Amino acid sequence: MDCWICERTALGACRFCGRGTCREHAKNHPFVLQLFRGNRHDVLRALVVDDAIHCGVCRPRGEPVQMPELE
Amino acid sequence: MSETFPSVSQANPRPTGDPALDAPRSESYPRARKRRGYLNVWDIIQTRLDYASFVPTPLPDIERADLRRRDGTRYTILKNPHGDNGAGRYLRLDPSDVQLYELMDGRRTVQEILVEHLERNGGFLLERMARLTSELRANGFFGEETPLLYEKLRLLSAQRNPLNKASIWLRRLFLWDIARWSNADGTVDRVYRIFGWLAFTRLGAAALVGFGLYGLVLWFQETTSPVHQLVTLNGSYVQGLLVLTVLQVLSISIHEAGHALAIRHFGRHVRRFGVAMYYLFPCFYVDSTDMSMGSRSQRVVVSLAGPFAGLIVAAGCAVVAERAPDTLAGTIAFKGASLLVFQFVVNLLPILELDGYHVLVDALDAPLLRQRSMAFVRGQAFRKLRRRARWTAAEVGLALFGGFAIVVSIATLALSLLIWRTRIGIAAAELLRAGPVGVLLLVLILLVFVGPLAVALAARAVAWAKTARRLAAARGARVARREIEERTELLSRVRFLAGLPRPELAALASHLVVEKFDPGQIVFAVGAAGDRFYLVRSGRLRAIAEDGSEFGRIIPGEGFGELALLDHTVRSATVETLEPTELWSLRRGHFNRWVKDRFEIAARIRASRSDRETLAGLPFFKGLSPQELARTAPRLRTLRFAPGQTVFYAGEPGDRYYVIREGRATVTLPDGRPVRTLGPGDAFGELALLFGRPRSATVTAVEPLVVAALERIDFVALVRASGETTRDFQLRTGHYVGAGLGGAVAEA
Repeated sequence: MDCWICERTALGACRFCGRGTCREHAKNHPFVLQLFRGNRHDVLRALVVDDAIHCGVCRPRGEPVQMPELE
Repeated sequence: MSETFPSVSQANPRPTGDPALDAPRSESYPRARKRRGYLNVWDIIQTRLDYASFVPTPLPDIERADLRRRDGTRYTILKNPHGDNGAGRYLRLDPSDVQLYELMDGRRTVQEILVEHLERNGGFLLERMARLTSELRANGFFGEETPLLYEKLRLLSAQRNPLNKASIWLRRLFLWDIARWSNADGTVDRVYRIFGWLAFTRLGAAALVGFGLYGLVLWFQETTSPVHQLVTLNGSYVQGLLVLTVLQVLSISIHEAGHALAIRHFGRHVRRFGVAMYYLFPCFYVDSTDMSMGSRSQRVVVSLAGPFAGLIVAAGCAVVAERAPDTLAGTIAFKGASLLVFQFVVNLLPILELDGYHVLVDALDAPLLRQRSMAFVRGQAFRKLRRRARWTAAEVGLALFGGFAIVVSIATLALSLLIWRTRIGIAAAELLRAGPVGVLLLVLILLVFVGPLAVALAARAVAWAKTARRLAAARGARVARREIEERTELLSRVRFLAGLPRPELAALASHLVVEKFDPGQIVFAVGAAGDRFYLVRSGRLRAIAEDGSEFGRIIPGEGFGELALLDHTVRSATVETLEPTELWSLRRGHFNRWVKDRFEIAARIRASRSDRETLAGLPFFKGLSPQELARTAPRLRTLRFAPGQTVFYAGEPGDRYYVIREGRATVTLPDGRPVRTLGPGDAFGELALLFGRPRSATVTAVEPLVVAALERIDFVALVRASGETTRDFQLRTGHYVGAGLGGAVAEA
């Protein structure tokens, strides 16, 4: 697979969209592995990878999209 | 001071009179409908993510204040009373923003708003609209405040940095926001109703200011009394400093209460009310952001209310100190009065970013005065002085403020050093003598007062180091990019790589390794395993056959060694440098990935070898070295002719030489007599190549004809590259003209 930007050999894939990316064009972005509520605290917690590979092209949205139709 | 009082209103959408239209949408996007009983989730998401179909619907109870600056320009402040957990969120809008905002009626989509604005005002403000909706959304003006998940995660991640951690802890030592309550209006309102309102009547305000000034005079008289000591208490510096710190915390709370009452007086809200640890002691504070919805004169009064509240309490303390000078209460009251007077003066100094500064900024309507003046003094002022340019009144004001700020900063530093030497140093020595508790206290004080400065300096040093590293990396990247460009350029001239897309050439270039050789050094010897392909960057080399004879020269820009890699064979020749040489080599792995595994390139390399072998078999090219043949072969262009089609006519200018690859052709003299038929491997037209003469015969394809053609211009270029003159080349190959290929063809 080649880098989406420069078409050179890709060393990784974007964690969010799957685009290939080389070392030069790879960026970092936090990635939420899992969201959960603890037993003792009712605060939502997240297991996170601080520096997941991001292609820099796609835009991971930080806020959820409303889908009232599915309720 | 020109002034316009704000018009504060609810900024909900304007009704049209049509109930169907006036009913606001509860969601920001139209709800999708089922098609044939199904919902297409992807369509819904597509619509939700389509900015153009977004229907911006501000909350119905958004407050709005239309204000005017000193120069007459309008601006608007919007307040979302629900934002920030009820504390409120504020947004400042320009007139253009307001035009767009007023079109957000909960019925129009972004696209419709933009078109409407274009028709009404003649401007297509897409970017402004995007920024405005983004800010409104982020501040909860459309309802729910969006949880900015990734921003928060980034922030949390940044807080793990040890320097940031230390900074946060140290900041907590001198300012720790323990608890805060949104909308503290209830408490403030009660205090205001009981007695606070009196301070804002003409009589009350006059009486309090008068009392404050009287207290100021009284305090000044008391400072001359030998009974009162400012720093010590019962002869102890430690006790004295501790009392002063407690009084300082109380005075801050009094100061903040003054602000809160003034805010309440003007009908605005105390956005937040909180308790914080300020320099390790608790104090109360109020958030006066809601005054941004008020007029400038109201903001000036609110700014002045804090220092004057302190002055009035100071006056009270001065009275107690004057009446009971020898008592503990009198001593503490004198300290309190001194501290409050000191705070009154410091707070009103416009140079420090305290109340006096805000009074000045609002009175002059000069936002960011300090930042702008400092920037002006650091840069533009010197340039203006050097050029002896004219100064505007605003520039003079900025220069005066900036210059004064610098002088005050230096004076403050000098004063701090003086106080350290004369007072705090003595107190520190006293603490050290007091044993472990004293030492701990001293360390804590040092952490509180010196820690933040040390961390700030360390952070600045780290930032400089990071910047230096980033600059060095950028410089290195620039050099590497130039190098890659140069290599790519050279690679693009390699015959078998011709036509490869630029990014692939760049990728290939990034794998090249620089190898340097001295004159006479062997790059590889005959019989050695072929493990890399070479490209000559500089220097000349010679190829030596197994019998020791030299059979070619290799010049900059040429490559060699690809055949052994392609066919997994050993080297067929020895290559030796003739002068200092720099080669770029490509290892087998990369060569295989980029070249061998690409069939078209591999075919091109092999075709090139086949062309060389064909050329070598022709009498015309007899005597050319393999290297010369290698240079010639890629310049041959394949041409195809249908049966009966003429390759060239007699009398035409001759600029090409042809070698038949497939098919047959007849040679006809100008009088129409056929002379002979040519087949695969035969060549014709060399006279044109050597002497540039016109064609002496016509050549016509008898059956589908494929020829390899060499242009005269390419031929001359090849001769030049070989270092030989065209004349020498002609002499070397001229014996074939008219002999090797038969008289008729030679004449052609």
